[in-house]
Amino acid sequence: MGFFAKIYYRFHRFLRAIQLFLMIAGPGIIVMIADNDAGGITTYSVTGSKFGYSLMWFLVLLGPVAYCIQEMTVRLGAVTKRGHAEAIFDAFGSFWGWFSLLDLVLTDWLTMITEFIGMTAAMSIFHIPPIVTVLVVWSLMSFMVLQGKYWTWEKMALFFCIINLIYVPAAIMIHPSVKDILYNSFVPHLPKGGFSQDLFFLLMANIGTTIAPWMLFFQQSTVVDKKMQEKDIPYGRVDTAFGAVATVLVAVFLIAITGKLLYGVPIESAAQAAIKLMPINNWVGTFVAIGLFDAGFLGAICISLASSWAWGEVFGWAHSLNHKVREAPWFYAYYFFDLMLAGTVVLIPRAPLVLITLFVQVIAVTLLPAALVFLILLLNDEETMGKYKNTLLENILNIGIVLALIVISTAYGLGTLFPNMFNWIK
Amino acid sequence: MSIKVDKISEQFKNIFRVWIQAIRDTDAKYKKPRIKMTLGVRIALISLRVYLVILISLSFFKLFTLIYQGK
Repeated sequence: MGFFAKIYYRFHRFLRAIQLFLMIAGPGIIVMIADNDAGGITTYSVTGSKFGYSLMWFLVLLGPVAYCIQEMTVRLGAVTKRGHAEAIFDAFGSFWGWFSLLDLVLTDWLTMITEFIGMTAAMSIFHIPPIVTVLVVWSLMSFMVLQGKYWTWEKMALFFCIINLIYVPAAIMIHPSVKDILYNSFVPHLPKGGFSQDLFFLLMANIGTTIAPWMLFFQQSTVVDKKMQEKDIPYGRVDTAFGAVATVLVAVFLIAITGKLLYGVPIESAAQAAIKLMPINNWVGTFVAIGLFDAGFLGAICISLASSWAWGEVFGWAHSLNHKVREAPWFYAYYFFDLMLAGTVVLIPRAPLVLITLFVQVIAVTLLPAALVFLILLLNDEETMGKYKNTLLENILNIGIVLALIVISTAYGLGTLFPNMFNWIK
Repeated sequence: MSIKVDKISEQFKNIFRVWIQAIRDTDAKYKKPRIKMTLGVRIALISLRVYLVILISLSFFKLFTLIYQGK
């Protein structure tokens, strides 16, 4: 009897843990999948077409890197009950606070424009004019936040996260070699032709799409808005780990598609990849276009909220998705303002969209190192973090990752500004 | 008509005043950093300032070069 009672008790505890996880899961999965935004999807498409499957291992390696960084925001949010912007203001004073806030707002707005570029390009493949796409996106995004409940917004965002996995069935349809995928995913090696300038830029671009400044601000704010407590941190970790696995899966499967069907074909964007895939396999091309729209949409809903939360935290406005518009007017006003402004820029004839895409990289590089350094310093503040501060092992690992990210993202930013800078590489 | 314009401009001025006051309040509230300024924190913040000054200078250099070249 005692034996069966024990089994029943453990099973009951297991079920309860799963129930709790399902309640807490969300922020990690959303932020990680939204990380595969329109820019990310373009980078993966180009990676596959230029180097085939040979860089899959690099993306698999970036999964744990993203997890390590984002896990710190879960702890910080659950312990301090403050968003990242407010935490920076409080800990480092107004100079660094204003710098981070204004840089975040500018980076987010420019990145939002690139998401709209991706969405309009994807829908143009189906002959939908940009104005219609922008209007539909505005309506959908407004509908999502106007429910007055964080829970509802999160479930709708999770629905769009599931659509992002469309690359998995698309890849299965073309019957890629599982052996090749497994080999290229887990055995690090250089592609044919060895190290080159092209390879160097693509590696940096892939890193650039893995960790973006808005992700730190977004996840910490969602953890706070979801009212997660210290006891929820383990669930938050699992949620973030699930997200990291999903983001790597999307990247690997997209590379499997372009690596198999477009290897050696010169492409510059994901929309171009979808167009070139359609004559080969109409369904796969269609799935890639739908995936690109979804990626841009997911990126846009998260990025616009990251900025609105940051303003709300700093100015002390009501800033929760659990509030109605009349309860948090400034929070929603900024959200809609950001949305309208980004969408309008895409509709301006002959707008300098290429220049905007270039500046996103450069401005993000000014914010990313600052945000990462602040994150490490905050996680080492014993007074705030108590027993949740970074351990020695976590510090060694995270500081190593942060330093590597700073060096590589700076090189990428400088390489974008001065394209001849790396001519010394063959 | 002019009364309506005056009312709207007054409303805008009020919003502007509220914003300026909110910025001033935020500035005052977070004037002093709360984190303990250990040697590690000081080094990190100074390095960050140097890094940003160099990067922003390079960005401006690039911008002026582009303008000079008429692109």
